[in-house]
Amino acid sequence: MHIPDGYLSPQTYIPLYGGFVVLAAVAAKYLKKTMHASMVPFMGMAAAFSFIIMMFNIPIPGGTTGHAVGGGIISVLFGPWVAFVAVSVALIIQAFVFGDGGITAIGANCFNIAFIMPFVAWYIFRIIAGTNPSERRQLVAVFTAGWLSLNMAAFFTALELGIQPLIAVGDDGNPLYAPYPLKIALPAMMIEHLLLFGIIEGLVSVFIYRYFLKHHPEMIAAKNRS
Amino acid sequence: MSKKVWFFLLILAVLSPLGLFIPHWLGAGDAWGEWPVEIVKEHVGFEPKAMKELSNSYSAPVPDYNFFGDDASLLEQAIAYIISALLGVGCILLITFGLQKIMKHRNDTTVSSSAQ
Repeated sequence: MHIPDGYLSPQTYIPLYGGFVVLAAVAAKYLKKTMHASMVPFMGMAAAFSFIIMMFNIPIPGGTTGHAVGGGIISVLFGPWVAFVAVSVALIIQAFVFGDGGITAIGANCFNIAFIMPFVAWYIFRIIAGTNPSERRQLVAVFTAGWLSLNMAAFFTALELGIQPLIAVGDDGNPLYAPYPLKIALPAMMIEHLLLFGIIEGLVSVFIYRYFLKHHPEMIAAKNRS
Repeated sequence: MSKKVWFFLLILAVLSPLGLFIPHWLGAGDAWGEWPVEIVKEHVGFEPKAMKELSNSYSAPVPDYNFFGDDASLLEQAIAYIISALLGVGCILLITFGLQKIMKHRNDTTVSSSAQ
């Protein structure tokens, strides 16, 4: 899901960079007001978790690979803006240090994976869990939040890739950037994320949530009252 | 909770080469839409012009979590992968400490200015 350099046209990656800068400014303003400095190490821990979990490539035998991100569960536990910053930090280091995801695509990748994913997860969890949910209901909400949020990130990624042949074509009629049209990009990305990678994301989310439920129930309770 | 979670993350980092080996053994390649230009050319029969130029615009210090090069053995790749995990977490901690310094400073000044 890390779009490399060369797949997106400037018409796509520049607006997404702009969007990312605006979101980062909003995040900074919001977190300055609501987050105490003592919470920052937890944000670092969340970023480290996301970074490492993304290294666990999951294979489709003979085909492609994918991975969980952790962006959904970080959002459910710490809030969507903390998750936005944590996952953005992980993605930016992946791009600059390891060449995983393009430099020109940082705005796009952060938008898809660090913004769309945490916010989808946050609202899905809140809608399914409601107030004072039973443990079973919380776990169903966490699984669904993880599964659906990764799929929404995959959907936006496929959309950005799939529109390239429509908006950037050379003199010879060939696409200049990602050459796969929407009707290929969307099913390819969605089927593997709906059926495999999203399920892994959901299971990872449930595993982490249960750990916090057992060892830090006060944190979870505070979130579910609001 | 910090110590336990960091220990858990350290174990994950040491296990991370599984994310390299298992796809390798099952013959799985790159993620969808993350192929190098040569593979894209195999798919569609031509090299998207701008993709080729843009894809070489930046070379990362540790490309693909591997500093032993393309001919590295699986063992070398695994070692590089674990070190990459630790290096990545190290970078994250540096940024986090930086953020904490800024916020601490700001929180202190907010508190002292509101006390006056």
